[in-house]
Amino acid sequence: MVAYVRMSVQGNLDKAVGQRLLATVGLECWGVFGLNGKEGLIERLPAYCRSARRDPWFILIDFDRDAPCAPTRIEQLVGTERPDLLALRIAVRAVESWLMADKDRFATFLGIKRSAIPDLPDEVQAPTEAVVNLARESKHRRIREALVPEPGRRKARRGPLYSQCLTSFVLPGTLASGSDSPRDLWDPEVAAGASPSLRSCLEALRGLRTRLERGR
Amino acid sequence: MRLARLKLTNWRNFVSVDVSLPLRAFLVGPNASGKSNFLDALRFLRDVACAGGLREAVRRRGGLQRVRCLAAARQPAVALEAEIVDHRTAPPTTWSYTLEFNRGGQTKTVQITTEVVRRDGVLTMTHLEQVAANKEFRQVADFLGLIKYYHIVPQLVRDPERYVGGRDDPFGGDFLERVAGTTKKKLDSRLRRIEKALRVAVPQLSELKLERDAAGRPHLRGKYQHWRAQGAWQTEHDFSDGTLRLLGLLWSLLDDGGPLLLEEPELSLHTAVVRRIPSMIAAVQRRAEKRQVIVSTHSLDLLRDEDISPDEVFVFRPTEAGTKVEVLCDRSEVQLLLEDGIPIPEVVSAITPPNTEQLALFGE
Repeated sequence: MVAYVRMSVQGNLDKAVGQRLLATVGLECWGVFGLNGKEGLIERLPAYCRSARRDPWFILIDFDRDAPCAPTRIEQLVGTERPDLLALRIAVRAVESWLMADKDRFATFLGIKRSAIPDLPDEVQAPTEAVVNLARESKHRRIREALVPEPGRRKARRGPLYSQCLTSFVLPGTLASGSDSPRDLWDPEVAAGASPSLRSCLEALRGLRTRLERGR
Repeated sequence: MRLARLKLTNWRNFVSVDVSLPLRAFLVGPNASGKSNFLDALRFLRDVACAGGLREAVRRRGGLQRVRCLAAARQPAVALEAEIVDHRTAPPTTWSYTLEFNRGGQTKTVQITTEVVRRDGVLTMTHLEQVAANKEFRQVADFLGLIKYYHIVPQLVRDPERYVGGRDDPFGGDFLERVAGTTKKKLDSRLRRIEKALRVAVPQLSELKLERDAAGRPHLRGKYQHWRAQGAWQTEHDFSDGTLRLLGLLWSLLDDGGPLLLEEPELSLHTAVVRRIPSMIAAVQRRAEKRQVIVSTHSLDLLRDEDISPDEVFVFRPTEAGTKVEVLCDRSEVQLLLEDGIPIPEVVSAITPPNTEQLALFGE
């Protein structure tokens, strides 16, 4: 029997990644909450925790370039007694690190050399900038136009179709060409081999699944 | 009097729904889930009661095949049942009006198969013609006739020449004529109140009045303050879409009449103004007649008003067997999320997610 999990994420790319992770461990998503930025999500944590005393939740937060005190703040909001059915995961910097961790497929998707992708994606300080810089070298114009901001726009951190384009690497059926056979898509299991934070996220979700099965 | 309940059978998107309506209701759901068609059922009852009867009401909507539910098997009858409570009596009187129709007879025209009026559950009448003739039951038909629908289209307000319909155009074709047709005392008092509210959204607008041009056509004129000490007068032709829509919304709220149906009142309005719509409705409902307002909306900002109660929110959920309508707090899992402190708009967007991923492919 499938267990239905409430998921809260800050934006569309995280939503896609979260949905793939749930599917990977055999959990079904019941509803996607948040989608209102990181601050919106953090503000709502106490409410999610109350709900997680009863129903399973998967909350995915990116840390991005936040001060190191951010995890402490989350600990305070969630409290020491973390609900049993809460899988709260913090991507070390951003979920892009997890995408980079599937080196072969990401290189093919972006149309770049495999060696250009960092070996330790969790250690990359600014994953968004890293992905944008990788995309600059892409042989596909489509990728460059989507991910890289137009030259001269110094305030723009990323291209206008950044999340949308990366989502097409994560979720099946979201690539325009329609040629996204599952074997070209991001493989969380493979990626977990190169990203300890992703590995522990998958473990946490498997643990949640086990607890749910045991609870029945 | 107010609408307490609406039951629809084989009507447009609905195979069968039964909805209890509060004084203020917000209808939410994906595009084409049937929010407008739900409101149209009420407009249909209004048309039957006071605008030419059943056949005319069906004809206006393009025939029976257009109003009948596509998900319904074969060609069943279409039925609408409205329950109306009259709080002026003690104890309150509950009226119900049931209308069922189908194609029938040798001519295969639209015919009434059942028409019933009940008072406190007791069958009292079986034909609208008789209802209309009978003074006592006349109030049911009169009440349905007072239902008003507003969906102002700014271009129609600016250019009434395009409008060839009759009176009471919900899209605003005769909006200015209607405003002009109000008694002077009412008009002045309403314009002052609208002026005050409009000034919040459009701070440059300082005065509002209605004037007729040489040809006798009414025009709204607004005084805009700018660097010139005197400001400048502009007519509805120069008003922005947002100004005209807000004006229409405010007017509709102040207008006399029965239940008010508002279609996406958030259109063209600033987020901060949209968030105030629910409380503006509540404020006019404090008046003695407690006018019922039913709003269809796609705006999570509108639902952000923290005084909206979950039993005022109706979720339209399309299924293969027609659209279902649920009160937000009817599903226990949803009620629990609300109790945990997750606000209504977030819950609504989580449980009625359109699959927008595919939109990303647009243009590629």
